Amino acid sequence: MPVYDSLVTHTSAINAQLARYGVKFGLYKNGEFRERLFPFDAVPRVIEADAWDRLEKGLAQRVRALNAYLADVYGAKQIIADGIVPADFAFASSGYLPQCEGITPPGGIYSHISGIDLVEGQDGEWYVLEDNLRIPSGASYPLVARDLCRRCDAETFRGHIMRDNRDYGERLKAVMDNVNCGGINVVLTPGRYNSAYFEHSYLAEKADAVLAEPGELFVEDEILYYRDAMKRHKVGAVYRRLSDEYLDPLCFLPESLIGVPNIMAAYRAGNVAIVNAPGNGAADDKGIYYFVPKMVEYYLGEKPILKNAPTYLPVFDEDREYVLDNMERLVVKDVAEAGGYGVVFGSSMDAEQLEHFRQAVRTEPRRFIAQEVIDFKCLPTLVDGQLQPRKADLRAFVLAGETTTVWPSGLTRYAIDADSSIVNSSQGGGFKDTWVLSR
Amino acid sequence: MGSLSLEKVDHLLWLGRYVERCYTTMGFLIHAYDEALDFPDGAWREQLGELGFDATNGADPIPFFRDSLFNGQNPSSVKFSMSAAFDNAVVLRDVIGTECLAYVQMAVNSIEAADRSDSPLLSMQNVRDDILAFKGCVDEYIGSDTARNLVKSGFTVERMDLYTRLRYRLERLQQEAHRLAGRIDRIGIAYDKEAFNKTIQLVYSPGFPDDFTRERQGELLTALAALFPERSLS
Repeated sequence: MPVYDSLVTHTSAINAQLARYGVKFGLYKNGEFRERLFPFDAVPRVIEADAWDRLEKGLAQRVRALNAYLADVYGAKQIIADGIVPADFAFASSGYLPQCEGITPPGGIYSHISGIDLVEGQDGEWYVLEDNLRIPSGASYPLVARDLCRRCDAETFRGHIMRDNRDYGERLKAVMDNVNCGGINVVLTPGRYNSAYFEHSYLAEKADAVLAEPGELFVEDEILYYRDAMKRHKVGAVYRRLSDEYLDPLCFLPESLIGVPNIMAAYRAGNVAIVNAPGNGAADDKGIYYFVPKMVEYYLGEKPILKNAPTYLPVFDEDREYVLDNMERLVVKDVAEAGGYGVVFGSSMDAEQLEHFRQAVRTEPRRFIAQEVIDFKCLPTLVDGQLQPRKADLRAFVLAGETTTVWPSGLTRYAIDADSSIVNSSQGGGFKDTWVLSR
Repeated sequence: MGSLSLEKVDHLLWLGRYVERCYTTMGFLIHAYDEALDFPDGAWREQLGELGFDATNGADPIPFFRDSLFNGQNPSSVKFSMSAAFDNAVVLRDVIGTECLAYVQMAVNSIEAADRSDSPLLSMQNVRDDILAFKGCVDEYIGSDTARNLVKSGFTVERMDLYTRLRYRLERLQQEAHRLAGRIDRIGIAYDKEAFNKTIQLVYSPGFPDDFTRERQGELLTALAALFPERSLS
């Protein structure tokens, strides 16, 4: 009998508690903002201790290499000079920001909190599908869920069979403290109508940071301040949860109404740490993903522990021919999209659609990547009172502070429909706790 | 968490005011409903007019009470007030804490459940319970003295405003004014001292509340409205 059997009986009680705590995510549909509860399935993903040890090493290795790449691409550009990453890939990426050239962030860390999306293949091998180095969401959900699960099922948790994951707030605080340039820690949110607002406010509380909206921050003499009712407080580290392009209207999009004018000047002067660093999109672009294993070898002199899904870049002639010839069995991704959008499975397209995509790939090869479809494992999931298999991925969180560590947990998302492989919450999916076994 | 921006100060004060508006309005509506069963054209119709409800028309008061509780488009309704309380609370999680915020969320959920219920007034008891639990949480979970006093000042000022407007429980206004006097210098923002003194003077005047004329009622409402700066946020 699986160890979680008794826990599963509490699924609806746990979901009721999640509703009580307002564990939601926001969606814009037809121009209207709506909040939805994020359905929780009490059947956890269970990762054996040995498998996790390998994953942990691989994830930390990958993020160390990605941080090295970011330092390089905004600095010496040696990897480009050495022909490992083509210049037009490095600099044509929409996430590459020339405004960040020459800036060394405090502690030399670019990606402090990385969300690495993986799937477990039928062969038991883990494959990285995507690196999220900008503002990856999702850690708060398993954090809340674990707490509730512990409350309703003592038997399951009494034996400490899984590693404790409830220290994410402390870990986040340590990451911010590590690069703090003197002053308070702030979580910067665009506001309550952001899709991940619950997470912003919850993590601020857990990390003992001030939750600030852009209007509460200002820059004077290249120093970032939080405006108190009585006085101003210097900000030493800001965990910003808004996108690069909106961060500073004087540096990026001038029409941004949700940015903090001159925050980049304060950052450039070394007076505040921005977590994660602006410009990280240069390394988590879907096109750059292809090169990450090469980065591991180049910067760390190590063999990559984790595999990428087999990926083709249509911009290369040979790859383009392969993609055009095999599109009906590949998954094609638009590099500019996120959140499950812009992902098209060749097998789901009719002849006309396939031809349309082939033409798009011919016309704009840099815009797409194509991947072999990984037949990833399903996890048992409670559907209408019965356990049913559902496709599920894992977002692992890697935190780079004094050392690079992996949170022994993660966000496991599952597809809502039996025949779907798209697990994003914005597409209707739910989430599970992720148990990393202690031994 | 020791830093409170002006925006958060504003949200804390209005969180208290809207929670209290929901609670007191709900209590008064239930009281008025009971009266309406016996006196369909009783004084309750006029009193509710003071709260912004139009209770002057309609022979059957039941649809009126339903609208007053659950019509979220009606700015005087209980649902609207609780929703506005939530709008203020949800941006204060780092100040008031998740446990405290959960009771505001629960009150919102309970109103929706009561609206769907066969016996909405009975179900509104859950909303009262949630609000009372929230009020207990304010002492239990809000660590910052300033933040706690702001929310509580919001409760008090709103209660005084509603009691005055409705000429209801006037005998309690001195007690409320006493509470406010104990807190108002600990809220960390400037307030209108003249308006505060006027408030004290009116509720402690000889003969209060028996000779609380309409004129004095108007003066007290004006003084209460002037206590804190105009709200900058909607």
